[in-house]
Amino acid sequence: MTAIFPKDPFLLGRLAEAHLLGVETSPLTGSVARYGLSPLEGSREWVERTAFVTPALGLRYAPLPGLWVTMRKANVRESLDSLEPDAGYELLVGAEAAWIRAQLDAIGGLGIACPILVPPYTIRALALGYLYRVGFAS
Amino acid sequence: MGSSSILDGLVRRSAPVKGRRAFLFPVLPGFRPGQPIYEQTIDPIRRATHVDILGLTVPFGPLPEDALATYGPLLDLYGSADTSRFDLEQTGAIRTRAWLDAAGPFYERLVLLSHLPAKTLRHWTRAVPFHPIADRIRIITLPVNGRPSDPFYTSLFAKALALSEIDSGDSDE
Repeated sequence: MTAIFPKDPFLLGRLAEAHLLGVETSPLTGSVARYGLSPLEGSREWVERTAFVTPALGLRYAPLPGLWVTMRKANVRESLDSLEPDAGYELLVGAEAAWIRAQLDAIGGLGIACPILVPPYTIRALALGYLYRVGFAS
Repeated sequence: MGSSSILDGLVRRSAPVKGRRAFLFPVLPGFRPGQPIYEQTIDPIRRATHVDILGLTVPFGPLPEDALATYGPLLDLYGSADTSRFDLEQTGAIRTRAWLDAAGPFYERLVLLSHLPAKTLRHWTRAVPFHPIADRIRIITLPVNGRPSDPFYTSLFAKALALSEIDSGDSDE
């Protein structure tokens, strides 16, 4: 059985921990996983610097075929508190339906066991790539 | 009638595009876009409009050249991932197989630059066996000290990709 996204928490470098909040799946568009991001202890800098890239929040970063990531403020629709600079952030990871089908077919064709289609290290690379792209490292 | 037209559609979809070729190479630290040896090798191929250039990456599988140039740092991010080489190669094999299934049938020929050591292509060799388009793949293997920009090899690539034939409209296939 292959899951699309990891259910267990994982680290985004030394910056934050990502924990799954939910997955939405549509047969036409694919699946989107929502991860909450908790700054690691001692990485207060993460929150301040992420606030710096606020204008880029919501823009999709899709360097690889079939996958994309973006970030947004947590609970942006539910709470005005989210406008505060220390509001939490969410990482959205999307996998297109055609891409998912192609990967599952390939797994079947190769006979390889693959517990997670989009493993944590792929999400980590995409998320860090997104942050670099929007100027987090500058 | 209905099932026949579906079948026809499938056959048409998997037929190769006349003259279309793919040039694939493993992305190695010493062979990446922007580096002189890379540019000297790829530039003649890049000028041919019928050839798609793809870098074989672990674990992303084949990526178009423009993705390599723009998102090279993304590949570097994998270097620090605390994941075993085996797991990365497994994922690379799955991505490569999926690419072969989806894009492979459209190519009349695929030319692979194999650069020793062979471990750089382990994901590829796992993905290809028994694939329907495996017989369209030509492999050009460079020795350990071989330079792909050497005129001998660039002429081999040109011949395998039929650069001059296509340019003059004299494709044999």
